[in-house]
Amino acid sequence: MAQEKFIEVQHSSKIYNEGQENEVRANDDISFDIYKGELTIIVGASGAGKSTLLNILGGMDFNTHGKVIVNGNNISEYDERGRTGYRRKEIGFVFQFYNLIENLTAMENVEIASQLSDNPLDAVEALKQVSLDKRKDNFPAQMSGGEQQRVSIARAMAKNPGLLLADEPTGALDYHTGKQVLQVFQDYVRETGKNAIIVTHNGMIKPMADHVIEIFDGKVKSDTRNDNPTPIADLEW
Amino acid sequence: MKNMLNLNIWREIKASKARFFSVLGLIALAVFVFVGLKSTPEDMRNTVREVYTEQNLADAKLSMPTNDGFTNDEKDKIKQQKDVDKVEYSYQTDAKIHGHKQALRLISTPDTLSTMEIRSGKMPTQANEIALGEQLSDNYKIGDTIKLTDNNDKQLDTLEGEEFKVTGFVRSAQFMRRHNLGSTKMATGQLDGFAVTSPDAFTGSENVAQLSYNNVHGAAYSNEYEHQVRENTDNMQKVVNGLAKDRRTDLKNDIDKQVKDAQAQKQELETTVQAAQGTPMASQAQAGLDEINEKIDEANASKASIDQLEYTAETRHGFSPGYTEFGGDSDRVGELSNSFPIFFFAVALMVSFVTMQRMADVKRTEVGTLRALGYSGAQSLKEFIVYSVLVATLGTVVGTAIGIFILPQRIFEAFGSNFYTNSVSIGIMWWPILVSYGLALLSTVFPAVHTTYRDMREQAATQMLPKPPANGTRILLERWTGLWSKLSFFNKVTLRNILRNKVRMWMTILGVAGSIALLITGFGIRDSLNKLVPLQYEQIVHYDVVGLYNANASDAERDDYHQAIDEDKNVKRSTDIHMDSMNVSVKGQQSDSQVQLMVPEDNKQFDKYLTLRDYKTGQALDLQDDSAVVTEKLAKLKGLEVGDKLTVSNAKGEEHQVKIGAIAEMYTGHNVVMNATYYEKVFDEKPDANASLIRLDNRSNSAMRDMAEKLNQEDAAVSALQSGSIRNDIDTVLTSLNQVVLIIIIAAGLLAFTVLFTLTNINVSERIKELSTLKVLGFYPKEVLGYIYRETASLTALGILIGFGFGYVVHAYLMSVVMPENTMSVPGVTLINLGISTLIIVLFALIVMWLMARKINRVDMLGALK
Repeated sequence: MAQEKFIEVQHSSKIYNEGQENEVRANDDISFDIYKGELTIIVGASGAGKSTLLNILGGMDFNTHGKVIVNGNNISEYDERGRTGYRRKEIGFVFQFYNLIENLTAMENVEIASQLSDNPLDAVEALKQVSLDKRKDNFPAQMSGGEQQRVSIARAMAKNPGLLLADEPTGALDYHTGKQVLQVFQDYVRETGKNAIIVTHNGMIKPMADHVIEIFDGKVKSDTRNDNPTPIADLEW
Repeated sequence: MKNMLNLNIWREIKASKARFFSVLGLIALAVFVFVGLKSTPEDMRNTVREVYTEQNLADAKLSMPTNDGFTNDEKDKIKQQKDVDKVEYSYQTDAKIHGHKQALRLISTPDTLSTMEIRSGKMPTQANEIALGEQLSDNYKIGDTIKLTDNNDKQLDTLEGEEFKVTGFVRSAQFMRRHNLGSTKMATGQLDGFAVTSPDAFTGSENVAQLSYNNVHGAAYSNEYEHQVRENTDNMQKVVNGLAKDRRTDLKNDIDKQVKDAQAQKQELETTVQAAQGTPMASQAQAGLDEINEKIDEANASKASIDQLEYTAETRHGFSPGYTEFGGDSDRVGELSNSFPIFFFAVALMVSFVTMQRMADVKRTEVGTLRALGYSGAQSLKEFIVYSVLVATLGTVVGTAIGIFILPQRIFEAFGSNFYTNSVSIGIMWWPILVSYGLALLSTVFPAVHTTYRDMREQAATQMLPKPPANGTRILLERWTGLWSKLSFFNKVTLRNILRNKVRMWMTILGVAGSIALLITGFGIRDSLNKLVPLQYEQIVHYDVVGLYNANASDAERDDYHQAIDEDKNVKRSTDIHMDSMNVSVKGQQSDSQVQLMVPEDNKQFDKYLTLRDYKTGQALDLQDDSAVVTEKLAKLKGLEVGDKLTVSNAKGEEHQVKIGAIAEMYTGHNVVMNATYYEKVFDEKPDANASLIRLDNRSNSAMRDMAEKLNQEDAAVSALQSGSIRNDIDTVLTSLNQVVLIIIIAAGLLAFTVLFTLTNINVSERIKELSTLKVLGFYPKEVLGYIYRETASLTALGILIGFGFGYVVHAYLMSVVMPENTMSVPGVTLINLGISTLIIVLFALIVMWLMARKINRVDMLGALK
């Protein structure tokens, strides 16, 4: 089937101290395409450069060589302000340690993001999608880790972004909670037809993705598509 | 191991420069204010004390008004007084400088008491040489010849000659002030300077005595010294009252004898005239008879002036204009030292509390690790203690240095600009330094220990983990759903964040409020002084010149005096009153307060010259037959209310009780006003008119001087006072206060800056994660700043509003403290003051925001969120 390209990464490198003795190549000539509506997993050992790649895709960092085209725009040409605008309109981000604002309720944590979007989801609706609408008036400290992570996902989704990015979203969660959280991502992609990219070091969750990119030592080691993703309930790790 | 810990402390300071220096700065500021304000009055007093010692300033001075001088008998009696150590006699006379509207006091070269310092040229040695006080150095130079005369340009009967060659310029502790050296009957009624010449230049005998006592101890201005001198001098006044009384009796007896002789002669002549009628001898005898009649009249008239002969005994407060003011000025500075530093230390304590807590929070894992490694709690506490002792010590050193060297100089420049004295003598007072070091240690060590102990109660294992962020909580306002739901999302967030840390919230508010209160107070000093002049001279005092004349002068002389007023074209109106200078002793004041007693001749016309209105209600006050009207500041000084009795004493020390019927508004000077009926009741004599209150058409200073000079030329004149001279004083005070105001403003600005910087810095540091999250979410830099600055801005705004209230109160307090004993402050601050103060605080808040913006914008959002 003819797939529409959503993201094109072309010979992208992130090189620190280039040309010097202590040169570090965090990303080294990476290229791949991501089609519209894919759930993508980028997998690799810690230090492989997968987080750098995700940060570049999310407009939080920039590459030093190559092109990154998202939804037709070459974001590697953006300046700081351009990247901020890009994050604001296009990206929903989920962190390993949730990073909810402690002094805001679940609902307000979602609202603070939806304030930024031209076309936001209703905050209660977003919380409903992560099954937390009943906890909307709770503060982060009153919720478990998994609940907090789901609020964090609701916050990312509330902006109604074209691309949902998650950095080790299950890293701080137990097995069952981790599964719940992954389910939310899968549902999001299936229901909205939008893209999500999850970065993880846990290779065991690869089968749930439509597309798996393996990074090793700053380079793409493998780039495979999976036409029959496994339902999350069947995953074991 | 010890070294490793020390190394750690250095690293800690390096890593938190902003925090370290802001606490250090606050401590230094507090110490500066405390040590500076405590040292300054002592430095000021020591500076003039040096002058008094160098010049061996007399403890008291006796003077008599004529050039007949003290007799040998009198000198013996004075010397015999048991307290008297040394007496030195000299000459003194007031003179007009011919061709100038200037009056000076000429004294004979002192011997060992009350000497002078020659500033340029040399001391006069001949009867035709003169050295001038520095007050006149702008108008004359060495080598000039000046002519000294009486008011009618005639030679003074007190001086042998009238032309003097200027040989030099001198400085005297008896004439320290630049202006207002006292009143005189010469020229315009104000002394413009003094001069010294050889005793040979004077006619008659020595009429002034400089005394030193043998039973006084302690330094000038100390209670020990002042009380003893006062007691001695009060006794001395009684002694000289007796001498004067004897002198008057002797003089009168002489006159009586002369009159008797003359009358005998007269009878003889009358017989001769009758006998020799028609002969040429008769006309000769008639001429002799006329001459004798004239002599008898003259002699009888001089008896009246003999009644005026009084001797005065004065302490330095009386004979050295400026002595009291210098003591008073330094006392007023001292008063400030009891209030302002408390505020600075309170803010320093609060801010260092928050800072140490933050430091402990940041370092808790490290302390936990040290404990886990086997260090005892005390050892890990050591780092905090060393850190805080270091801050307190450095802060004290810096603050002390500025407080001891800079503040006294600046304040001395301000207050000392009205005096001729040495440059400020800087001394080190240890107790304020030790007290402030103690307070500084308390402000830093206590929070450090308290915070660390709080953490120590936890197990090392828990302590090794970072402290969980404070839980979010609902605020009370959220219960008020009606209002809460109307607030915008960001307003809700701001409100909840502000209320999350109430200690910090109050500190920001109080820090800002305190700073703006200081600013308002600083500018308010100017406001109040500026308001005083129009209030006093447009609404209360309507006369421009007070012409004092001799009530015992002949009718013809008094008529001439009044004619001079009536014929002057510039006089709008005038009225006669009885006026007396009285003393009132005030608790806590080393010298008496001077009170003008006024008894109008025409009660109905009096309000055209002086408005008497109730100090509270503003209602016009009428003079009653059974009580007097007393002015506000006097009533306040004495703590008296309507119905109470006020004790006044005259120059001779006789006391009378005056019942207070009403208290009237008045801003400078003390007055007691009563009608003739009540005066008779109190003093047992009729009030003779002895002063004219004069209102001019042209009210300029020069017109007032012209009027005063004209009046002083009359035979009946005693002196003339210009009511407007206070305006010049206030201008001088305003200029000299600029330095003090500047110091207050700088201190307030630094305070605002440090408080806002420290608290915003901690707030930002604590919430780096939150700010990074916002950045990642796509907040533009301005929005991120706005998110956190909305809190700083609201707290600053609230602080400013509360500060307006504080400022009003502190200003009122300060003005009541810094005003001289005879001046009331005008309450209230101007809108311009509030505006400028607000602007300055906003400016400092913006600087803090600008600095913080750089920090926030540089935050590595990815690093912070790991």
